[in-house]
Amino acid sequence: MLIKLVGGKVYDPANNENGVIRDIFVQDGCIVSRPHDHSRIDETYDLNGKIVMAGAIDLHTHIGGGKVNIARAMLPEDHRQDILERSNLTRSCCGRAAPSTLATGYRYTEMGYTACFEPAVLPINARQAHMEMGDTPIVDKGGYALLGNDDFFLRMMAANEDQQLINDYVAWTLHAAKCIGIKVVNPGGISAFKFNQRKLDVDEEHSYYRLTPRQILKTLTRALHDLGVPHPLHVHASNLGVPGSDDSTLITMGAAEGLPIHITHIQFHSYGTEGDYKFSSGAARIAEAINKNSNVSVDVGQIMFGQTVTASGDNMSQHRNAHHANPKKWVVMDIECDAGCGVVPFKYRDKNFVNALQWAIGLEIFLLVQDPWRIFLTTDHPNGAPFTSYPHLIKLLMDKSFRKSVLSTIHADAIKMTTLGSIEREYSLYEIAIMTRAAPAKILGLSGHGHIGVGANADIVVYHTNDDPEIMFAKPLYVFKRGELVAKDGAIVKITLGDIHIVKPEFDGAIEKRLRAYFERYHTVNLDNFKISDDELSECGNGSRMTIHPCNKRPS
Amino acid sequence: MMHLLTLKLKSIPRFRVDLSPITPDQLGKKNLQEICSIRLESGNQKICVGDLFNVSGSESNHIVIKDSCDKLDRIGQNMGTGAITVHGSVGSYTGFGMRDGRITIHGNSGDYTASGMKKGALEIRGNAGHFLASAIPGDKYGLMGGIVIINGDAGDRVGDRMRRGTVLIEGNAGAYCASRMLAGTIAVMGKTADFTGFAMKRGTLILRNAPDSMLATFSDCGNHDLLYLKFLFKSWRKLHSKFSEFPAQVRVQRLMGDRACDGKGEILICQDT
Repeated sequence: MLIKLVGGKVYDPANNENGVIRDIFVQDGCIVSRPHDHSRIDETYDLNGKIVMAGAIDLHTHIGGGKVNIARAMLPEDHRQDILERSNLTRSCCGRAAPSTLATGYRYTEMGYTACFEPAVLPINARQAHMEMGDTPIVDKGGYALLGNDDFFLRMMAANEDQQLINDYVAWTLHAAKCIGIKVVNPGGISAFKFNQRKLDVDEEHSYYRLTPRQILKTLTRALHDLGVPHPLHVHASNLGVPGSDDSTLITMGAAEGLPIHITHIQFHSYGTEGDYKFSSGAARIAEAINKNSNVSVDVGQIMFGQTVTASGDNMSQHRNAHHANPKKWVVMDIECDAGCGVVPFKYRDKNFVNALQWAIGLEIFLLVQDPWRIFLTTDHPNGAPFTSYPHLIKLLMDKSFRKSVLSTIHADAIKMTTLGSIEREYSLYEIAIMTRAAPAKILGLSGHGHIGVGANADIVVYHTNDDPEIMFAKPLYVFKRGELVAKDGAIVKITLGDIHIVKPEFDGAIEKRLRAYFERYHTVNLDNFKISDDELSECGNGSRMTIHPCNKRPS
Repeated sequence: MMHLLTLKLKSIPRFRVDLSPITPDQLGKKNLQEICSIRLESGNQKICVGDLFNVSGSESNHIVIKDSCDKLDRIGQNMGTGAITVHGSVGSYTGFGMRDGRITIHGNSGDYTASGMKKGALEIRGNAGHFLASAIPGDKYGLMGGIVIINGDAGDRVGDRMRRGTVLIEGNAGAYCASRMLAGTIAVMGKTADFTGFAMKRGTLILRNAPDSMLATFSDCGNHDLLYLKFLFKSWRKLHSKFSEFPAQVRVQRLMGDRACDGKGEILICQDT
């Protein structure tokens, strides 16, 4: 089947196309070059005056796994208030801050997103996470496995084991949990919390293992670099949400020692201690450091005003913030001694000084970081806001008069503490296409995603031209997934299965012998049941396809 | 004179019907035709108000439902103003999350009556089902304010996780009355069944008659003349209820508990004078 998309205005930063009017040809789910003139075109879409981009990619969104499920169970009101009725095609589903798997898939697709990555797959919970992701229709999925707070890893580090062995363990975890990257949450901090530490600075020692977050970061960034995993270490830095966290974030960047590092939801880690409230914006310092260090990439984790729920592996910070819970209920727990989890519902209010300034700090970072290839558009769904607020966020970035009008409505003292009002930058469509398509694909090593050059997967989004980016990005005219029309005018027209993306770096299997002994001594499950096989992964995803991305192992 | 908006049930529906869209705030200035075309959830289908009811009148600030039956759920859900009067029995979740106004049911009501209600008045002329003024599973609080009067009996678990407000039951209450109660006032004229006050954290339960058995985790604090009761009973004088005739001065036996659960609740048992 050959599809022709005629005359759309193409924004494809990966191929340096900034508003180029051209035709696109799609065959068997892929983008192909212009066929011979006598080829039969099966379907033609006239995209005259429309805007064409690749399918958007969300590289940090909590869509599956243990804590998302806790959030769902804890917030029946979120589900009761937001019910999507079934249609002939879609099933009934519900939830806004903690949507069901179905609502997640439908709504992402309706907004033109074709790939989502769950950033906190605890290896012991990976099966559950993959099942939930497999239940999420249409969009492609992948996960980052959590390491850096598990005892096996900390024991190895404390015993000063060889980097090579740690690399093997990291690679083994990627295989066992079927993930595409590694994330570390509050390096060492989740474990330290269980030893009654309530804060852990980057150069502070874990009271039992005598390790610092800096050492953990250094070891893990090195491991991923050596293994050649495309996505650098995904770091949820120390001291989340603490005034003064900007310092530890800068130190965290330095801990990578020049190796690639991705710092996630950096908005929550960019707070200073100035002003009457001892809470100020560290955005300028952080943005300057990002601009200077080309090994650093970030996603923002913008907050939006309204009700949401924060779900994080960082039990230390969630325990600290639990008294802010709104509605008043929260969960902080250990998970199988491997890591932790905290779920705290939040209502961000524009008339609250701290919330208002958080909002401004996120936007400051967006606007002060110059290279859109190294900053990604996220709200850390659902921690900053549900992902459905992305069109509104894009408008805030693209329209300075709109941004200033919203700024004028927030807490008056917060307005005084932010430079947002004086920033004139407006993102262009090309830059939005970079930060939501081309750049995430590049940093995740997804060769078939994020662009519409020949050979790419035909994940294509067609937008109406509209002066209001919020309207434009909320309801694309067409969304194609692997060449199939899945959404039209913001409504689902076809349900497909998304792929699951993983990496399988090479490693020395001898590590499993040590792991087996450790599992038998300490774990609640057998090592062979811990590992997820290829077949089982496919079964978790109702038979969805597995895409293995290549790793280029570097000699250590 | 304006005629009250009246919905007369044509026949008993096959499945339960969610009547939550029919509140004075939501009908507002809608005309009869618009009201008739409102679609209600029923089973896995939707049916129009006009197909289910004969609709007449125009004053939607006071809605009258006639010939009601126990399949009509969620009457007055989240309503914030006006009044609803029902002739006949109603289903579950009557007055769920009600914000203000008045609901009067001339008949029986089902389970979870007045759950999550915040303000206003709810009167049941017949009996109420189980979980009166209680929290639905997943919610933190049951009744959160307002006054609920039951002329008849109430089922089990009255005031489970109730947070504030008043529940007055003229008849009997079932088992686990005031279980897990957090605050507020419940008064029962008839009898209560087993496990009265189970896991009661705070709040006041006033009983005209002593229960046949009391939990061991309640402590007898002796008989008292409590001044505040005089004011409380006086505030009931204006009510359309037997509670308006409650004697002004009653000596009560005070039991504190549930001591397995903080023990700041009180059960006050009226003594014969």
